[in-house]
Amino acid sequence: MAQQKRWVYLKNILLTGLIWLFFALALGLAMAIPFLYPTQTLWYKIGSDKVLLQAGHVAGLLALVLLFSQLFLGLRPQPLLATMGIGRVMRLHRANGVLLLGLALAHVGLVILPEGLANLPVGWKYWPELIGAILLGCLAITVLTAKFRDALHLPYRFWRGLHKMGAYLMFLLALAHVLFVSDAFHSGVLQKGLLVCGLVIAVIIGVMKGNRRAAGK
Amino acid sequence: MKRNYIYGIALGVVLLFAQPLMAASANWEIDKAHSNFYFTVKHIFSYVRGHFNDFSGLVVFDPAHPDKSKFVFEVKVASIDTNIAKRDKHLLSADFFDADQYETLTFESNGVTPKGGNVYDVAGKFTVKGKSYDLVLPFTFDGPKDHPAAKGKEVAGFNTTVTIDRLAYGVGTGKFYDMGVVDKDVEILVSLEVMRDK
Repeated sequence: MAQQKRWVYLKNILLTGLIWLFFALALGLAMAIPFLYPTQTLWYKIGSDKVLLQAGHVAGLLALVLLFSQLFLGLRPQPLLATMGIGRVMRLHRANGVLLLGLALAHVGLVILPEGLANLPVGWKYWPELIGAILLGCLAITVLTAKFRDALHLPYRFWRGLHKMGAYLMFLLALAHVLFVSDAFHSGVLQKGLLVCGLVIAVIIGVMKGNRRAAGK
Repeated sequence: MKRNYIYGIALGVVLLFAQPLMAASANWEIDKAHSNFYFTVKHIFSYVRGHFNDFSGLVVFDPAHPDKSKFVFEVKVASIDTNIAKRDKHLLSADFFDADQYETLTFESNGVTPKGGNVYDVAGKFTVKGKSYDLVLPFTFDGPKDHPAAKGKEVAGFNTTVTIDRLAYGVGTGKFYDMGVVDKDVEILVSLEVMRDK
């Protein structure tokens, strides 16, 4: 019995390590992609404009990784609960949400700045950017309603439903935004990689939700 | 004061009636569905094409009296379309057209000279980014003939191709030309189909 407990403990430690390793890898990849696969917009930027735009792309991709991990954290994965405890996992979830919003805002600011405020992508022609704007709005609402739920007098069940729905909506919006806004993701390894990532995350979430339902949680 | 108003109204009425009378003689209406202002510019090795979706113009032309002709075009820069939204946005930026500051490109003729056959040199002022330049558009005039699809209408065509140095017109500082990315020579094709009542 004790041996079995130790095995479960070791398994959780191992899985937690793997989760952190994947997370670190994803963050590293997000920081490298704008340099390994620069978008064509970067061809026409020089000096500080290029640095700002590249930083904007890094911030955006980091935000994407945090958004994907946020979904995962929200489902409270068993290995993390066992090794970190629910309090820490939820604190991490909340902090991740705030950091995610900060990165998303930085992404918007850094991408817009080199283009000039007078040349904003407004109109249906720029629908991938519009999706990004909607995504930012959803993100801001989700983070602010979570942070100030009591002050806003939102009933818990209503807020929770909204929070969950918002999370899945943002997952889809983020995929669409990245796949269509950036020419680096229009084809090739990045497009396929992101689609596979999205599919894997959707399957993992589906399985985790199925397991939670089966366990009656 | 009251007299000025009366004169103003009288002038307005005269102009209102004068316009259709002119139309019967030499005024042509641009068929916007079959007209456009196209441009082609070399990008490293390939040619990128674009056009403007929003423009308006005035065409007054009678081959018998070319000296009484008038061509006025106004193109909304923001309507630029190269089939890539991001490229359009870049072209609208201060790197090229600075569309926020300079919303239109205009051309206003000040003389039409027959060059033999059906070619007419239309000389005028081309205004780009707030500065006016002399420009001659050698238009080929086709028609007129009865419109094959619209009863009671006549149709004619005006086509011209000119190549201009965009840097001479202040469209870009030359940094992308120096990099060998975007050429300075831009071929402009103005293709107009115009109609009028018979």
